[in-house]
Amino acid sequence: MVMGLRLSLLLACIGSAAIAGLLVFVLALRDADDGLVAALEGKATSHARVIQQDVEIALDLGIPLNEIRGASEYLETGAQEDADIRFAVVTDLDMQRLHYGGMGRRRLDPLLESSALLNAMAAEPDLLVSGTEGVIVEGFSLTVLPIESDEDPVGFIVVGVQDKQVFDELVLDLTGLLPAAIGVLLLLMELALATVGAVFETPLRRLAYLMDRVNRDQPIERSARHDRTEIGTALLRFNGVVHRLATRAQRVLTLADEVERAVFDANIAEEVGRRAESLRTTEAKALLDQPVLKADARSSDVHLSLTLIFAAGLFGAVIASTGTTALFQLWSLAGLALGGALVWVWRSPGWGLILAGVLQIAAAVLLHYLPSMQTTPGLAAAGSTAGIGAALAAGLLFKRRTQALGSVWLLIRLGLGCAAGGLIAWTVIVEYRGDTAPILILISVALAVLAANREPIVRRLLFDRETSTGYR
Amino acid sequence: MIAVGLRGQIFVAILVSTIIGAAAAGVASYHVFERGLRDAFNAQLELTVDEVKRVIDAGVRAGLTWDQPHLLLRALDTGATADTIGPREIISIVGEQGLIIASTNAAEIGEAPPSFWTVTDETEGTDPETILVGKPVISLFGTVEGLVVARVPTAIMNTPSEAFLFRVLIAITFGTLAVALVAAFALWLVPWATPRRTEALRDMMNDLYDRIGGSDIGEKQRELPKPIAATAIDFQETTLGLSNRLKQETDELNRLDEAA
Repeated sequence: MVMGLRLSLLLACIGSAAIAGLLVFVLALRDADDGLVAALEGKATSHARVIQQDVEIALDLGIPLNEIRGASEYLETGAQEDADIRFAVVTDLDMQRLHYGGMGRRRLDPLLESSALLNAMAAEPDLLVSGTEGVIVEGFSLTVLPIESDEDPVGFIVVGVQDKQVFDELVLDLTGLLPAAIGVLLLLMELALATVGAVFETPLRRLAYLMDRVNRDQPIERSARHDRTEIGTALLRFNGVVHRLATRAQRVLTLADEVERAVFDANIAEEVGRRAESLRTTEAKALLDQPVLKADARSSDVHLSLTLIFAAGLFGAVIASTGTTALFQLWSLAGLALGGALVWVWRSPGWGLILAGVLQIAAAVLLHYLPSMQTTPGLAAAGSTAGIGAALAAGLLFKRRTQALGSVWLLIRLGLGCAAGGLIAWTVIVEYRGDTAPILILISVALAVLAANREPIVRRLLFDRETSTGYR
Repeated sequence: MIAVGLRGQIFVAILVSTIIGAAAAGVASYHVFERGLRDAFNAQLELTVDEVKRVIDAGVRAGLTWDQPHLLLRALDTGATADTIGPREIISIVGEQGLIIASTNAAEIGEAPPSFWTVTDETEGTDPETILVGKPVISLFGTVEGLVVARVPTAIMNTPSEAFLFRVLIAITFGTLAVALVAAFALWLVPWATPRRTEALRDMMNDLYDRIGGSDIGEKQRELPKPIAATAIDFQETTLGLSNRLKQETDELNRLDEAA
C-alpha cells in the first residue's frame, strides 16, 4: 500500500534518528556529567578551603571549634550564595556535627554517619593532612578537609555538591534545543517523503500509466527512465515487451506482403491483403506507430534540494537580520523579489537553483569573514532571501515545465523548508551560537547539492530554457 | 543512487536519517557540555574574585590604600586567596584611574585594561579568547574604588572539550552503527509486503518479456503492489493476447502460402 510505505518510512527515518540520537545523548551526557562533576568537585574543594582558612583564624584567636559564634550563619550564607554548594558542615574528629548550613539536620546527619563516607575517610592515609574528595553518598559528592589548631587536627569541614544536579542541568539545557530538533525532524520527514516518491510512488505511477495506454490501445509510450530498483527493472522490461511485440508485428506484416506478392491465386492474395490491412489498422496499429520515448518528472529531481535551500535561506535571513533596523529588513524583501525575478526572466530552473545555492554561500561567507561590517547584516539577509526567491522561481519553472507535480507541491516544500530553517535559527539565536550560522548554511547547501538528481535527462530539463511538457 | 533495489534505497534513507540524528545529538551534547564547562570556570573565577575582594575589603578596613600596590599583591597572595587561585588564572586589580595597579601577571601592571572590563558593574567575559569575571570594590561610603578581575584563557577549555569531542565522535559512530545494523536486519530478514510485491512485479515483467519472446514459462500467481495490480494483470493479458494473435496470424499466413 502506497500510504503504508510512506508512513512506514516516515516512522522508520524519524525513529532511527531518534534512537541513534538518544544513544548518543546517553553516552555523551554520561561523559559530560563525569567531566562537569569533576569541575564541581574542584569548586567544592575551593569552598572548603576558604571555610578552613576562616575557621582556623578563629581557632588561632583561641576560640574553641564548637563555640565559634555565627559559624552556622556563615556556612549558610556561603551555601546560599552559590547554588552548586548544597551544604557545608563543620564537625569534630568523630564526625559529630557542630555547625552547618545549606541543608537541614535530618538529611545531613545520615550523610555524615554513612558508612561510605566513614570508610572513605578511614581508607585515606593523609586524611588529617589533605583530607579526601569525591566521596559519593546518596547522589552527593563530598569533600572533606581537616581543621587544625596549633598543628593538631581538631575537626573536619565537609562540603557537598550534588552530582544529580549536573545531569539535571545538562538535560534541562538540552530541552532548550528542542526547536532545532523539531526542525531537523521536519527535514528528515522530507527525506522520507522524497525517497518514497522517488523509488516507489512516482515510478510505479509511471509504469501504471504506460501499461494503461497499452491496455486502452492508445499510442504506445516508452519509458526513458529506469533506475536499478525493482520498478526500474519492470519499466525496462515494459519497453522490452512492447519492442518485441512491435518487431513481431512488423515481421508478420512483412510476411504478409511477401505472401501477397508470391501467390498466384487472386482470392488468396486478396485474403492475405485484407488480413494484413486489418492487423495494420486495428490491433497492431499502436505497436507500429513511431515509438515515443519519454522520461517522467519525479519529485526526487529537485524535491529535497529545494527544501534544503529554503531552509538555508530562511535560516540565514533570520540570523542576519535579527536585531537590525527596519531598513535592513526591507533589503530582505528586495532580495526575495530580485532573486525570484532574475530566475523567472532567465527561465532556467537549473541555473536558478545554482544561483540560489551561490547566494546562500555568499551570505555565509559574509557572515563569517565580515561580521562587523555595517552593511553585512543587510547584505547577508538580502542574499539569503534572494536565494529563497531564486529557488522559488526555479521550482515554479520546473513545476510548469513538467506538469507532473501537484498544485501544492511547491508550497509544501516552501513551508517545510522555512519551518525547519526558522526553528533552527531561533534555537541558534536563543543559545547565542550565531557563530555557527555560516557552517550550518554551508552544510545545508552541500546537502542540497548531494540530494540533487544529476542524471543527464534531469539536467537537460533543468537547464533547458525552453518550456516543454515532458522529457524526451 | 548507489544502492540497488527498493530495500537498498530505503536503507540509504534510514542510514542518512540515523547519521543526521546521531550527529545532531552529538552537536547538541557538545554544545551543552561546552556551556557547562564555561559555567564551571566562571563559577570558579567568581569564587576567586569573591575571595580576593574579601581580603582587600579586610585590608581596606585595616588601612590599606590603592597607592600601595605591593600590599595589594601581598593581599592576593594571602593564604585563603592563593589557595583558591587556579594555576592559569590571572587576577588583576584595576584602580579608580582606570589602570591596572596590581596583577599576578606583572607585565600588565600600569596598562589600561581592555574596554570590556568595567568598573561599575559585575561583568562576565565578552572576549572570545578569555573567560572573565570582574566585580567592583566598593568603599564603606559606597564609592567604587576599583575592580577585581579574574580571568583564564578560553584555551583552558581545549583539553576537556577535545577529549569530550573525541568521546562524542565515538558515541556517534557507535549509535549510527547500532541503529544501521538493526535497520539492515529488519529490512532484509523481515518479509515486508511492499518490497516483496515490487519484486513480484519485477519477476512478472521478466517472465512476460520471456514469454513474449517465445519462452515456455507457466503462469504464476503473484501478489503485486496494490496500486498497479489490476493494471499490470490487464497489461499481461493484453500483451499475451497480442502475442498469441500475432502468432496465429503468422500461422494463418503460412497456411495460406502453402495452400496457394
